[in-house]
Amino acid sequence: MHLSEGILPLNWAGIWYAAAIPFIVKGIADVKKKSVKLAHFKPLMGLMAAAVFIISCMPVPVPTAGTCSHPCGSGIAAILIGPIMSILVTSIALFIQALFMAHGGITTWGADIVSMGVAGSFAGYLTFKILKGLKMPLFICGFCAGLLADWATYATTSFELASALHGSKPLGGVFMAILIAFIPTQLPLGILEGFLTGGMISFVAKRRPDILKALWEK
Amino acid sequence: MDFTGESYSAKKRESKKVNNIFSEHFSRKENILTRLDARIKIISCVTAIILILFFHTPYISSTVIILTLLSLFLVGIPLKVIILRMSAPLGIALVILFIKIFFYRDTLQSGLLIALKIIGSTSAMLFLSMTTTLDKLLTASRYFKMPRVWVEICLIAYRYVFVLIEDASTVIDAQKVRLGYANLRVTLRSLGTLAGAIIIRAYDQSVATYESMMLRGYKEEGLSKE
Repeated sequence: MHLSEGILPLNWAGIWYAAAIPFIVKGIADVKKKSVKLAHFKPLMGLMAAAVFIISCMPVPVPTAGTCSHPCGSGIAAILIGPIMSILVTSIALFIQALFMAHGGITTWGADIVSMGVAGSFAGYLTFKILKGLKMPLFICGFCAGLLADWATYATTSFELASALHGSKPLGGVFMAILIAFIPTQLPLGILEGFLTGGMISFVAKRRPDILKALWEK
Repeated sequence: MDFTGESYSAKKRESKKVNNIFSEHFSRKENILTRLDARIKIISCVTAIILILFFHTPYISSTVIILTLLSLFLVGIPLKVIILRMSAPLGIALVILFIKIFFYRDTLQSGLLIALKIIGSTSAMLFLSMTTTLDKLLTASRYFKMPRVWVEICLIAYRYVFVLIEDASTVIDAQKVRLGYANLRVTLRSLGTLAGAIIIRAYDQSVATYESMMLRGYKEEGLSKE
């Protein structure tokens, strides 16, 4: 769910940039550390960014909210490589999309990283960890992680849009209006992303458990 | 699925059209704008976007839109491609205009201003992407102190986006001939399998890429610092 270039006033663009930068800095520091354990970690992050790009570049217009909607892919990345790395790869996918597909933008990059990267990745990762800790089947863990990652992303995007556009109107009212406007596309898209994530994780666990072992090894 | 020659060529033509819109088809051509230093283009575009957002006047956005269109026509980029690339932000601008007037009960002037800001700043980005390849942009970004690790991962991602798109397309074709996507239940299962196949392919490709990088003398220092 990308906020289009030019939609955010400069001050809000700056605030979202400031919120996103610490996660990117931490991600870059972690790449260096993890490359020591897993030699091909850097190319792997590149390939993960490419995978997130593909999943999240199928825009579905939301006529009532003024943005494009799509599966996020950050939930999938978060359960495989962790939330911080997922934010890093999401930032790269968003950058390429902003430049070459006019989805998102440079001034809205920070806001898009916060919604799709930070909110989506942490919601997906925490849901997956909690359900896996409760010994739920892998598909259910993945399904809920994908679903909540998608819905967390859309709730955050709604807040970003409302905070920038509410003007003299109450923030809460505008936020709720945008949130409701997203429901027709985001409710089914969240469920779709749940199946996508659940199916992905159970497929990989069945066919290539070595990949999960390598990625989840402490 | 139709596997006749005609359908196959139509599919190829469609795929080429998509690639022309998305890929660096135009930015790799030799002309006055592609030869211009990427750093100058980055500074110009970012300045234009900041000016558009900072001043609440339609004149800056309009000037940027006109200048972008003129310069892109000058280097032979078809209007159809520009419109296709701009379709998402154009749609969003129209919707914002509609919401501002009918939902927020704002004036037409205020709605038009924000719509122009969206189109103006997106056209500045369009100018940058249509005249500069990603490798030049990322090399220039090192000049503006973008972290080296981030730039390296970004280059790898861009290189393999096209490879993974091809792979995903092959998997989808294979699923379809095995009655995948036949109904809603099967579609949901097929999509999960597709996502899993992409992740497995991405992992295996990362191992192969790393090995080939090492064989070619890659060191952790990676890119030069210019």
